[in-house]
Order: sequence, then structure tokens, then C-alpha cells
Amino acid sequence: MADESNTPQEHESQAVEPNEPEADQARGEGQDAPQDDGSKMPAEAEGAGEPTRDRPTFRPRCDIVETEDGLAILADMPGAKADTLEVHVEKRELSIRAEVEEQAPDGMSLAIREYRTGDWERRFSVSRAYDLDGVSASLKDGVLTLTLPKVSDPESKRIDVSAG
Amino acid sequence: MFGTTMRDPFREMRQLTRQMDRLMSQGAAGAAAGFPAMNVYAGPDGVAITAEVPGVDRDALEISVHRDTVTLKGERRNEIEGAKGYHRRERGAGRFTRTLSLPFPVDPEKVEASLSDGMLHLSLHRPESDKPRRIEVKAA
Repeated sequence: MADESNTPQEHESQAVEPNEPEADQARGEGQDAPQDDGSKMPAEAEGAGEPTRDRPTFRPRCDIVETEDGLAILADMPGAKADTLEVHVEKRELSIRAEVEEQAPDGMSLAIREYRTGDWERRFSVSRAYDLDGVSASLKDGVLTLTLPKVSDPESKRIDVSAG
Repeated sequence: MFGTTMRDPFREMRQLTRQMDRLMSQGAAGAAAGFPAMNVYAGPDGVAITAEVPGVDRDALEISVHRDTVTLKGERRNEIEGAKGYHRRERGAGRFTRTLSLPFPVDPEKVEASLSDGMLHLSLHRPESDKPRRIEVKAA
């Protein structure tokens, strides 16, 4: 990957970047965007593969927070269960995915639909400042929390040049 | 359940819900006006409501039923201990209130509510005395 040759300085400013289509930025769903009407965000990146299910996929809303020890990613994934949740790491990409099935009550018909049920999926590019081997994940009340520890001994170090 | 010749009793409810949300959103700060989004299912014995409430604690939810009105109140908190700074903040927080006016009264004694995986499930029943009854037509 060409973008793996980033300088350490760039890592400081862009610790984790969600991998998203550029159209999103145009719609103003970027960093510090105010909460909109609460509707679900559409799935990311077309071309990631044809969907093999008939239900839609949505992108969970996330907070990416810097803490003392590293980074925390919180994702709202209501309906997600631990046994159908997948957290994947490939190179510097972290991806989360959960399959959610509609829970329609038996013998009743839908009268009002304000939200649609679908799978959750989102991907993040993570800088080398964080250790992807040490990722831990916990799911509680439909919120996934990922913890990424800081790299204690980064591969790339700044070498001080002493004046001769 | 509702025949095609019958007026949709939920049409009015949808409009009313929107008006309520507008009213509520003027007073409440924080969470989005339509939070949480709800789906409503209708059956012969009553209605079921499902809502997505990720990160809302059971103790922070208050559900009340009065005649034909269901009110859902709560608070969602999303502070993180030891947070030094945010790279991205998309999850809303704060107090929320949503009110639904049903086309018929429901029995406040028979409300069932459950919360799991960030999903709220409410089951509301019509009182026996209020249910529509089928009248047998006797042959002369």
C-alpha cells in the first residue's frame, strides 16, 4: 500500500480515518458535524462487493476518542449481538460488521415505519501510532467499544541529528 | 386487520407524532428531535412498538401510558472516561422525549417492555371492554 509511507507528523493529525466515499464529506457528515435528523447513515463504499442479502446495510454512527492509553472507537449498532459481530484487522484497516435481523412481532402488521433494520458495517484506516494487535472489543446495550492501545515502541522513530 | 375500505386509523397518528416531535424539539436540547426512531406494529389485540436506543441504560428510560398516549422519556450519555479529544463525534447525547397517540386506548396495567442489545420492545394491549366485538347475526 502506497499510503503506508506516511510520515509520523501526519499520523498525529489523522490518527484514525473512516474509509468513506467522498460524497459524504460533501453532505457535511464529516468531523464535528452536528447530529442530523437521526436517520441512519447509508452504507459506505459501493463496489466493495455485491450484497448477498436482501436487507440493507447501514453505517453505524461513531465517536472516535483519544484517551490516555490510546484510542477508543464507539459505534452505535442497535440490534447487534456478540455472536454475529465481526471485528477484522487487515493491514492497517479495522472493520466492524454485524448482522441484524428485523424483529417483527408475530401476527402483527407494520403501521408506522420510522427506521429500517439492516446490517451494520464500517471500516477505519488506522495510523501506525496505534497497535492493531492489541485491539479489544466489547458490546453493551447495542454500543460497540473498540480500544486501540498506543504503540509503546513505534517502528518509525525520529532520529535526532546532532550538529557536528 | 384493517380492511381496504376502512380509514387508516394510523394516518392521523403519524401526523400527530410529527407535530409532537416538533413541539418537543423546541424545548429539549441535545438528542435529535426524532430520537429514538420507532416502528409501530398493529394487531387485533393492540400494538407493539420497537425503538433503537443504543447506549441507553434501563434506569435512564421512563415509559408511561395514559389512555391512548404513550410517552417515552430518557437520557443518553456518551461521555468517555479520560477522553482527551475527539477525532470524530457523530453520536448524539442528551435528554429525549417522544409521545405517540394511538388510535385507541391501551390498558396501562398490561404494558410489557423489554430492552436488549440497544433495542426497546413495547407491547401494549387494548382493554377487553374496548375491543371490537363480532355480533352474530341470527337467522330469522
